[in-house]
Amino acid sequence: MIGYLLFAVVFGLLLLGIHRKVIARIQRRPGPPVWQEILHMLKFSFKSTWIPATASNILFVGVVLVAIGIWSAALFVLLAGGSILIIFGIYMLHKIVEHGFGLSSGSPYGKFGGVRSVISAASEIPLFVSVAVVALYTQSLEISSIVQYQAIHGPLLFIVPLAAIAMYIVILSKMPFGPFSIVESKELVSGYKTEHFGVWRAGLEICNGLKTYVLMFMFITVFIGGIPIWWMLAGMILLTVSLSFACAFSPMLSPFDSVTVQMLITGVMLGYAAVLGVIA
Amino acid sequence: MMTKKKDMLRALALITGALLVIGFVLWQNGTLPLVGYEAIIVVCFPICVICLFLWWMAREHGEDIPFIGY
Amino acid sequence: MEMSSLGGIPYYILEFGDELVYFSPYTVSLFLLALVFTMFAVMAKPERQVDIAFGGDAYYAKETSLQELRFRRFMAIACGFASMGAMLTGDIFNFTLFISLVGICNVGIVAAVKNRHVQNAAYQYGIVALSATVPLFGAAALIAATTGTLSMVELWSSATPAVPLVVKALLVLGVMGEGMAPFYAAKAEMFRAPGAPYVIMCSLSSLLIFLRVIEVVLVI
Repeated sequence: MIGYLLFAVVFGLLLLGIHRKVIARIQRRPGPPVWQEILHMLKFSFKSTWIPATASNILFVGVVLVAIGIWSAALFVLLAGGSILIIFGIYMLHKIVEHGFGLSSGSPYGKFGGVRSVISAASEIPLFVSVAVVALYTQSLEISSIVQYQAIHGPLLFIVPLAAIAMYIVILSKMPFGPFSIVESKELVSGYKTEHFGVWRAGLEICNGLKTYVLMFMFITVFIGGIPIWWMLAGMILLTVSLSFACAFSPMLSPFDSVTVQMLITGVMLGYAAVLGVIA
Repeated sequence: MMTKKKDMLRALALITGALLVIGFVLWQNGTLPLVGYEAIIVVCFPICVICLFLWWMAREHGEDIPFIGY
Repeated sequence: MEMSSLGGIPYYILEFGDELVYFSPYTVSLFLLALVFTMFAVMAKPERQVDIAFGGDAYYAKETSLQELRFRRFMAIACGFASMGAMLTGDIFNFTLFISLVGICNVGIVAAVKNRHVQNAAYQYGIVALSATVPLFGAAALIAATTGTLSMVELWSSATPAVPLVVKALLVLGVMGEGMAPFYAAKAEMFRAPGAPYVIMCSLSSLLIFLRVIEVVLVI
């Protein structure tokens, strides 16, 4: 289990490295090597750090531990075929972690990153209505039941394509350099993680690796079904490359536009869910 | 003062690391259910990793106020 | 939908007559998170927000007075307890009570800062939270009236008549009103009100009650 956890961290960071590389090649730059994010994690772990004099000390350290802890739990829930509602909850709690990161340091940049994280929650979270659409068909929110349903009826990707798109946008809004990643945009230095450098940033990198792995794994499991691990890893790389294209070809939206666009997509999804609910 | 802090961090990393190993052994024995082992990982893994990093990181300097612009 | 297919099979159901508390993987994990962040609120010292004096190079760190700190910490801890209760309870009326308590505590956390803009935000949120209690308790009353019970486990078993869809919608509306706090807290923070670690309890409790009400609505 701990071995799988470490593998998930490394593979998730590798996916983020591939993400950077693909974006760079699209923009005709050489780009960093694909293992750059793994090196980053190690590099930050050796660097000196401190807790800022103005910080809320225990929260400042605690959120780093909570960030790693909740995504490890999410990985285990996913592997055990547990409830997708728990993973949804953990995704929402990641917002709290981002808010905690930004809030605890006393830095104005971090604070604005955290505030943006709260504001964008209003539009990202309702996209999980796609989970409700899935539940309409499978009659269950247990991942194992969803996999069983797909073994009989074929991938949900073809049964409810719009729900898959909504979930894809949820993942896209968590990818760095994406159109919706307003929480870490450059006018805020590094957004919510401005003051978490050195060892704290290494912890955050571990959390990012796990988060990427879990979200991609969840997307493939829920919309394509249970497939052998090698196909799963290949599918995750493919999904990452498609996300990189989406990120490379779209500008980062302003906070207002980002929230508005996500709200519009949520509106469409709610209509879709209502129509499916009436038909079903 | 500084070495004392480092010693404490190393001890904490070792204790949580040992807990992870003990959990693994007990799980393999069948004494501990998988859920229990996973609970141990969720609590101990972040503490172990962060303490390990804090132990091997470079020398510390005094703290300062946050970055407020160039 | 089966109760076990939502948040996992309940480990344990603790009954006090009609009122009960139940521990499923979902409710327990939410409870533990509320507990962890309440511990942070108890132990952490407040942040000192750094502000730059307008038109110069000078900066200063805002201090939180001891009196304000005590009040906000009390409210944050009360809010943590209320959300822990709302996570575990298996009784609709207790659930609505805990949620309204979360709303009251959130007003307290935001309103303690002595700044005109922050007070305005707290006032507006207070009105929203106050009016949201009508659909919230109304939903609980209607559930009792239509089914004759408030226990979630009994509502989940098919022995009782189905809860009307409009009642579920009322319950969600009530929780949404109480859970609006993060937006007003964010509004207050934008005026540079020092927040951590107390404002984090606003966001946490609101997200947790949203998460729990999804489960409640699917179960009943």
